[in-house]
Amino acid sequence: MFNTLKYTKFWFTVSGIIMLFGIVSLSVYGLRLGIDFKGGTFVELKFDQTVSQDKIKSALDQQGIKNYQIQAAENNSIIIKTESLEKEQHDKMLVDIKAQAGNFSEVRFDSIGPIIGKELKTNAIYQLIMVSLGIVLYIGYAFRKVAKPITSWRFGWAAIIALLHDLLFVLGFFSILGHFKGVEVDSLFVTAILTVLGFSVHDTIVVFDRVRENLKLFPGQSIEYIVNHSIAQTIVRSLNTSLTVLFVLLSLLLFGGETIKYFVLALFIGIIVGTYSSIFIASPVLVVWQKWKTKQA
Amino acid sequence: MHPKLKLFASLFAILLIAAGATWISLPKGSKISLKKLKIPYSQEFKVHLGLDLQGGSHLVYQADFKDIKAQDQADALNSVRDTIERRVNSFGVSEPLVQVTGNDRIIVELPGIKDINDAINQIGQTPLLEFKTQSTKEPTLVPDAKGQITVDASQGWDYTGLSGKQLKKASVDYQQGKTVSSQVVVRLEFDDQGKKLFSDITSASIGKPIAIFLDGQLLSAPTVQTAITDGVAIITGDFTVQQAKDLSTRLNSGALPVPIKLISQQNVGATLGKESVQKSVVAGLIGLLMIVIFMIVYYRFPGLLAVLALLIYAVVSFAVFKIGVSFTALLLVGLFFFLGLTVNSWFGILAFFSYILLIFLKGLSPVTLTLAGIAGFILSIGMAVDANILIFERLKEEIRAGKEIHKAVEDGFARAWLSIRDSNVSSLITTVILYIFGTPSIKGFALTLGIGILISMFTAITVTRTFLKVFVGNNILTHPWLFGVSKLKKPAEINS
Repeated sequence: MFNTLKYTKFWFTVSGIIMLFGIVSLSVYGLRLGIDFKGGTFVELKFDQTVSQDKIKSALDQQGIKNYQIQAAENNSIIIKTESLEKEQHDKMLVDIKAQAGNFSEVRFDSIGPIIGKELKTNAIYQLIMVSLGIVLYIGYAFRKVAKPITSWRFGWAAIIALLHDLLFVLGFFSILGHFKGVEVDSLFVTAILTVLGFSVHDTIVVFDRVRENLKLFPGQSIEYIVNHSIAQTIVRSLNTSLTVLFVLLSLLLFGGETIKYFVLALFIGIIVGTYSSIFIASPVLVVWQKWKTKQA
Repeated sequence: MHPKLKLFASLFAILLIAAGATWISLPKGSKISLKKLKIPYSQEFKVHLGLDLQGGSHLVYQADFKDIKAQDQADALNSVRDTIERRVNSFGVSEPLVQVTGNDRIIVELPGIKDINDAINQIGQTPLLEFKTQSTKEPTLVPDAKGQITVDASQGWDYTGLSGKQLKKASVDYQQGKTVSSQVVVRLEFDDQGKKLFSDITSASIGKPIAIFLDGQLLSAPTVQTAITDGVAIITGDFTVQQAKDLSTRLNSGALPVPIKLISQQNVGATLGKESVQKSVVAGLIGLLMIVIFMIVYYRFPGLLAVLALLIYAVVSFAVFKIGVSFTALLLVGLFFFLGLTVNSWFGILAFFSYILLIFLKGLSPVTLTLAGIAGFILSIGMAVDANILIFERLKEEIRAGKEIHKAVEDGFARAWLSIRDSNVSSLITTVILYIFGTPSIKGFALTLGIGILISMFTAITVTRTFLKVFVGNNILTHPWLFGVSKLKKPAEINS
């Protein structure tokens, strides 16, 4: 039987370093907010032929639009992101671009006012808090009848520590992507994060469930033995479940199109990290905590 | 009931559900019609695509309530909604949506609209008709940033409370003019409230002008000769017949009681939406294929059964999207209640959840598929096999421990149940919270994922168990190899 717990220190160090990177990146670079959260305008134009970005640039400058970004997308498409534009400004901008850069069709136009952006941001934070709270309460409840010596709340907290780990990892990753690749964080990204949290807990619960069962089956055994045994029994299931989900995500990532690419990427990374943390973080935390408590007593 | 009879009853029920769901899922819209039975009921099942998939426009307007008393705001907002709805209905798009959200917002969704700019103009142009009297205050003249002083047309006038809200009818009329033989005018008729208000205003300002503003622009400011008590006002201006006709049509289609401002809009072209659908379908099918191969290679015979269950899952989910949540929740309450009585009392709690769902989602049917929603559905395909994997891993353990296949199947399912229950409930909590707090696109994701989780609990547990029992119970296919167990442990190894 593979002894997962023997390497606890190693896993904790690896995770610690990665989380440190995440925290540093988040505090230095922060997250690049999409127009959902800060308000702004997003325009995607599909041109009849390839078009140089300079022409569009000069059209935007002419309109006096500031803080814009121009990106080329597939099939002669150009994405323009600016601060929030009024309808008249937007219409004028299109006329100007048409005059300078040629014929196009507008395939997407999103304009989010700053008020809505602020609301969506507040909502996203609410969601995060509610989901975490809901999960702790549920685990506390589901594990209420667990055999001594571990109290049910400790299961909940261990799961939360694993969740924080996943959260920091994915946020840190997107903070780095945002800084170097200009990837933005929008409300779909928040959805991905919440889904990852749900999935990660889902995984953690399966391991904890075995711990609960084995505590009853082997009452005299040490907590290390029981947790290690439980991990060994559930590891194949954890890996296989994640694998099937990763199959579909990979397929979505490769064939699913541009619009949801980063949404799927966030899910993809989150699920890998979530699986890792439920095995190598959540369960060891349970053991370390328990040993520390016994030492104290 | 005899266990064998019970088994075949559930097998029959499963096949029936699968057949029904397949029929509903067929791409060429399925239709139920009871006309032959002389019952006037017919229902067609169609897939409803969200704006991001079929193309269209999502607009958010904010009402400006600065002239409206707090207790009248809700009424005013509703009448703005009704007005916009009348406008929108003339665009000829199928299933437009106009709804009030929050305290001062209105959402307008125009699926498949061709000329979005024109639509926005028409909604925005809806006239705001106001009657104002001369102000007693001196107009304030404040220089702007460039040091110029501009006189706003509305300055110097006070709002009287009489607006397009009290308008009953507008029509084109002719009036004897002073210089020309006859003049085109627009005749306004007020409702009872407006009649009284207009009579008060006119009697209070005899000899003074009353200004009529349309969308903040001064139309005309006739001087009141006598108090008008019959609730009829005439707007004179240099109208051509056509202009007068247009104005009265616009006024009739509803003057907005309060000004509105477009604060957010999302438009997706139809081609982009179509591309997204095609790409998602391809991605979903490839993902499904990979899972099918994996499950059969790794879990062999049970894996094959799980794949069958998964296919049933996909069809049933799709059927649910078509027939809608409310209807499905009703079916689920019944189903889970039945299962709660017969199989496991935990299903009783699921019945309760479904009932809550039913209350929450009333009138929301059918499910509108958005891009995020499809992603949620595809993700749920990956998650749907989880329950099966849990069960099969347990099953293998039981077989390795030397149990007979029949017993192993029973115990495997029984023991995996707690894990399945706890882990799925936590996922359901997440989806419910996402649904409550999410934006429309997130709601779509949460809804499909949530439906997926509920359905997968049925397919992965009930369907797979029934299939396994049918084969194992008849002593067909019971070799351990088929269950992915190559060698049985010797008794000594058990519990080591």
